[in-house]
Amino acid sequence: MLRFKAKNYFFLGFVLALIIIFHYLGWLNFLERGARSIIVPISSKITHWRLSSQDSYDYFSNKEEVVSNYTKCLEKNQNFEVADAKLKNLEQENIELKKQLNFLRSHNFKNVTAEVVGRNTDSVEKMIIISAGETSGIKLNQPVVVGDGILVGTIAKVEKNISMVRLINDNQSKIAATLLNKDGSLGVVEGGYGLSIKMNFIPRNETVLIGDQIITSGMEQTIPRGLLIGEVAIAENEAYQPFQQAVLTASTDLSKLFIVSVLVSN
Amino acid sequence: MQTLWKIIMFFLSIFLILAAHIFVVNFLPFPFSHINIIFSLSLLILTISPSSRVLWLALITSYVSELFSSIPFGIGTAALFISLLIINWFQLNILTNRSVYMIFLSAILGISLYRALFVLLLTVNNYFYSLAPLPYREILADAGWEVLLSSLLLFFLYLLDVKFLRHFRSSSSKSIRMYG
Repeated sequence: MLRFKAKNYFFLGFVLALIIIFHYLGWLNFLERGARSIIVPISSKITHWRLSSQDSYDYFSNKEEVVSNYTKCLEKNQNFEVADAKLKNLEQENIELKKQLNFLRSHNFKNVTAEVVGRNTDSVEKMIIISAGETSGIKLNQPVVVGDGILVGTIAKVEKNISMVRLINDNQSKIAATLLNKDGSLGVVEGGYGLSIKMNFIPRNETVLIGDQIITSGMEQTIPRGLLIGEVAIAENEAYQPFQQAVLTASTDLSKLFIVSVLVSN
Repeated sequence: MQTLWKIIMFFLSIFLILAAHIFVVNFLPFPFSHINIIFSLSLLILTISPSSRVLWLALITSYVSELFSSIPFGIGTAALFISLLIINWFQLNILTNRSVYMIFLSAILGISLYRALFVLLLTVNNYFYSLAPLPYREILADAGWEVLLSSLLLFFLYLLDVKFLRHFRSSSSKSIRMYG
């Protein structure tokens, strides 16, 4: 057993306090950079292993599942044929939209591409760690996107060479959003502790349909309008509630992120 | 030479504990990703080979781990350090039996205490910085998994030590020679 006298406890407490104070004063930066440069490659490697091993999770466990998936596949194929006809129409619209896109480009969204190197080491918050930080121009609350502008989170903490991204399914995440329904309903997209995403504060008299898409509303200074968040999976309009809410399906699998872009300015 | 060897082993232990913690957090699926490797291994080492070095090891490991956390710096390290000291006191004065069941109980107490201190410090921080309140129900559920799985891990590791590894250690061999 480890026996201590009172003065040992004071000494240990003193050392702990010194470390915390020195950290906030930045006197341990060189040590911290060294520790990070050792740990980040390991964390990155483990993340890649996890992502590659997850790819083999999508298998069928019984015959019924195969038949069900085959039926769904046939339905999807029919939908694709319909979609093909729509596509031709959309091509013309696309030419018009490209003109608008040029306008957006003139506002010049600068972005920083970064690799996902790990997850938050404590289980209280749902965050990922990315390989770009303050030196790349990343600042707090900047939006993080994947693919063609799918919002996955916002920057919650910035270090010199790494940053923490608060995912949209984190409990503390709150993003001003708008529904692409006929009313253009406004609301706030909130995370459900890594398990779900909800859009709250939707006025009760507005129509919310399953499948409606949700985008950022542009009402926050750092997040531009039009970043895709997800689509409505369940709409809940209870008589005793002042607002209705919708449970969303994210547009991308938030557990399989490996490359993200941070919109650093416009 | 022996001192150099001890220093190398010390830093290697820190590195291995951190690598194990990162592996568990990043690789294992829920709820196994909630196993608190740093606390479990620190408590295990503190129990089987008590030395002030263990506290330094826990301090440095927790310090490095906090560099990859979004929680305000110092909260995790302080919670871990205080709870380890309290559990050490418990093991000295109350849980004096060294059976695997007592270690299991120590682990449950220790990790519960760690998580309670962690949440308490975080709540105080959020209060003073006017941040959103914590999701206590979800934290409680996560802490439940953490306590259960980390305690089980520690139970099995200690059992492994008692049944197999202890016989290979020099201190144990000496006591066997002395007391038969």
